[in-house]
Amino acid sequence: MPLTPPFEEFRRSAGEGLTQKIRLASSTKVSQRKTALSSAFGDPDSARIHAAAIKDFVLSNLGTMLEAFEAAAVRRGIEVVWARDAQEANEAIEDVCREARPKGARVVKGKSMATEEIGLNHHLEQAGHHVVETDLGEFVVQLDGDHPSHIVTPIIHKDRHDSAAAFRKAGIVLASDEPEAIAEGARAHLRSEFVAADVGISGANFGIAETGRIVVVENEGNNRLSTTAPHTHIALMGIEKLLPRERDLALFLPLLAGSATGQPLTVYTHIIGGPREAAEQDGPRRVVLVLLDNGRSRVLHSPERVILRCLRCGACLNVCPVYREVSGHAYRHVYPGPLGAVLAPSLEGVEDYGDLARASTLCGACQEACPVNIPIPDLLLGLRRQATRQGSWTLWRRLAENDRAWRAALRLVPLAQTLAPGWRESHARLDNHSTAAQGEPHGRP
Amino acid sequence: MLERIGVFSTCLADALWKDALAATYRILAHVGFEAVPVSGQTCCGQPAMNNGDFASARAVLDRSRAQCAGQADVVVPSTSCAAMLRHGASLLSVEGGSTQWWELGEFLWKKCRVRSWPALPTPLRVVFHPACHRRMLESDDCHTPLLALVEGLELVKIADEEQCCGFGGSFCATHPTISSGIAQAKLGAIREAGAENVVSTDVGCLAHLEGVDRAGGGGLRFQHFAEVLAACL
Amino acid sequence: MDAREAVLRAVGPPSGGTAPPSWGSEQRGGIAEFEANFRLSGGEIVGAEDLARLPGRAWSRDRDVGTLPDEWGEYTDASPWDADLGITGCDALVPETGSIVVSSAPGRGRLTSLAVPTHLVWADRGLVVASLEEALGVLGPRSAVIVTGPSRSADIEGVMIRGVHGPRRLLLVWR
Repeated sequence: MPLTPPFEEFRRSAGEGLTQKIRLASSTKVSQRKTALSSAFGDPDSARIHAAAIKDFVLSNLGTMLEAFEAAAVRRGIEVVWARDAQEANEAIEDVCREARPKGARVVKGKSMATEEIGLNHHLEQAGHHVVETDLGEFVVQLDGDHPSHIVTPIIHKDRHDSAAAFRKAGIVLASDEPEAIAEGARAHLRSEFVAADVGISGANFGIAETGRIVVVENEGNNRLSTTAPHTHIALMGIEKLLPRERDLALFLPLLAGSATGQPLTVYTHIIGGPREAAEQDGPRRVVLVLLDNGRSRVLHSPERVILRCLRCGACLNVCPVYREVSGHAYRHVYPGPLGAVLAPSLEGVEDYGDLARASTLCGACQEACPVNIPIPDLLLGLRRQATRQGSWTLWRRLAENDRAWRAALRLVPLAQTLAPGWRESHARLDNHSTAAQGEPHGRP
Repeated sequence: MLERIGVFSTCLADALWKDALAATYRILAHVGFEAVPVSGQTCCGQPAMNNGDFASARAVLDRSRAQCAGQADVVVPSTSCAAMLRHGASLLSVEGGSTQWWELGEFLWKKCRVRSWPALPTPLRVVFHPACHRRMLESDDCHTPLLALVEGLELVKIADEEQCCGFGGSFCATHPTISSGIAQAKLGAIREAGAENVVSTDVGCLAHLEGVDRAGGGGLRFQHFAEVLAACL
Repeated sequence: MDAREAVLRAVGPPSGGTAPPSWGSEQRGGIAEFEANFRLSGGEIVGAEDLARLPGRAWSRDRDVGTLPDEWGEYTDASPWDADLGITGCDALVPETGSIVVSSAPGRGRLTSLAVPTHLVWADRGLVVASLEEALGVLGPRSAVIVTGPSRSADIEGVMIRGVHGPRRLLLVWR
């Protein structure tokens, strides 16, 4: 590991302003989550445990469930395409865009972490398509050439003036820097995009194995416009996103909305059952679902398997003391925060992302907040193990196997005043603080 | 005759906060036990495990658990060491032994069913910082109910009280800026609440917060949970 | 080997459990709870007498919305994109969340509840179900949307803004 880990470097250069923004926003979200979940569920902990068990069932039966889901979706007129990796998914989506308009389709996008994961926008733009992010935060990110720093609130690292500046740079007129004015600017600008678009692209929060329907949740309405107005709707869904039955949504929807934004339900929960029927006046003529593996099947058979329960609610980011200090960009990956610290090294290897697993105090707030009770601290420890030579602490072990040597060594601890900035001061306490039991082993009076 | 009970002293208390240990012995005597240190004890193995060397951690944890063989109950005046001896052991697949490992507050509240406690000689306004590894103990809060029994002790609520102090073992050495940034947020919340005394169950948290507070010229007073209860005796 | 086969092979055979664990909602609500939570979510309940004061051009092709009073508003033939008011019926009302379930039944239209600045729901008290779980059971075979309050965003500094892309106002009138 480098002398200064990347996270430290990031925190030092980012400074206090960023941290203040994130701390404040996170703290609000945490109290909203708690209020929402305790009003939605008599016992939120029991709901989390049930949800975890249902997701574990899905993971244990993923193959058969994917086949059932596919068959049900196809019966509804949804085209299902499988993708082993990011490249296959990008190509499949580009094919559909080209079919919609060969010389470059106009594409509107709802917020989707999976499309960030595969770098879809870049791929489509290279192929000559015009892609617009329509979620307010993601639109600002796109205008600024930035990256999301939170999986639910992508511009948590920006204030109103940063956002307004991005609009003005792109030539979009705003009445003021007030959030309402910025939203109005986005609404007016993006409306013509929705009307003109050939293709709408979304992610998927859930796929229902029983009925083949796709569920997408959001608050602004942009996702629904993207999946309704254009001729073609393409949804990109990770293979782990299935739920067995439609009625499982009664548990998962409030759990997800409460954990993510502290709402009883998100404003819009779209239950997409396929292209428009003959008698319908609107809705897409063509619906294509792309099932994305991209390393998930490998994670399924790894020690980090249970990270695949993840609903991408972002609750673990909001409670994480380290995330609050550094924001999402420090994680260098699409998936930041505690879930990213597990998912990034699991998907990409501990060689490149092993340091993420070390950038944690192992406080366990993430697991406590997780709507599917993922034991993130345990998984981080497991990843640290994978990145560490077993036996590298042998010297320490030998010392700890001999209590006389150990006690002698402990006397040196207060002298080793280089451990941490906090401790440098604290160790001075021995000189004047602890006298009652000096010299006695284990402090027995 | 008093019932004997083992005490696992924990390295950090031994090295940095011996008052917490002395207090633990006084408390256990008060509730009717003859407390004796676990003989030949060293470390719970946590440093090696947190750094990914499970093999070394397992060897040391195994040894520590073996040192307690034959004792029904052992009290640990540290949340994180108690969590290591229980939850850590299951992660490392260390099995065997019939010893029950108790964090001090758990032992008093659940095992001894302490429901009254003497008053403090002088009133104290206190912020209780719950050590994060309580989550790995999978146990209900035993500390605030115990502190609530103490007449003269006023518990002060702070913003984000469940947030970590930033210590994280060797994390505070590898990520010092982030670690002390987290501590400063905690200290800020404590000052905002107008409290001067901070109480916790882990010497790691206490030493870290105290160090960052002193480095910033602050004058907060840090005490182990055991010290506060012992001050009533 | 095609992608489908490759992914299924990589996922491997089932490894446990024959039926998914069951979970039953304890929620049981009624009309009063629905009204309270609908208002909490930002919705407004209006009386038939208020309809005449609603703004501008309305749009509806919903057969459930056949008997609107003549005196309020004019209908537009253009499209929901140009309307000031979109009117739909609904399929179920959920007490615990104050949500409205709107299916894509023929005539109801997906954009009618979405592209307009104000969405008016024409509802029957008999459509209040006991729980979200029950509402999911009456979704109908096609697409549906569960609407919980007017469109909103908190992307900028966590400040709540209404009506970002979808309707700024969500109104309900009891039949």
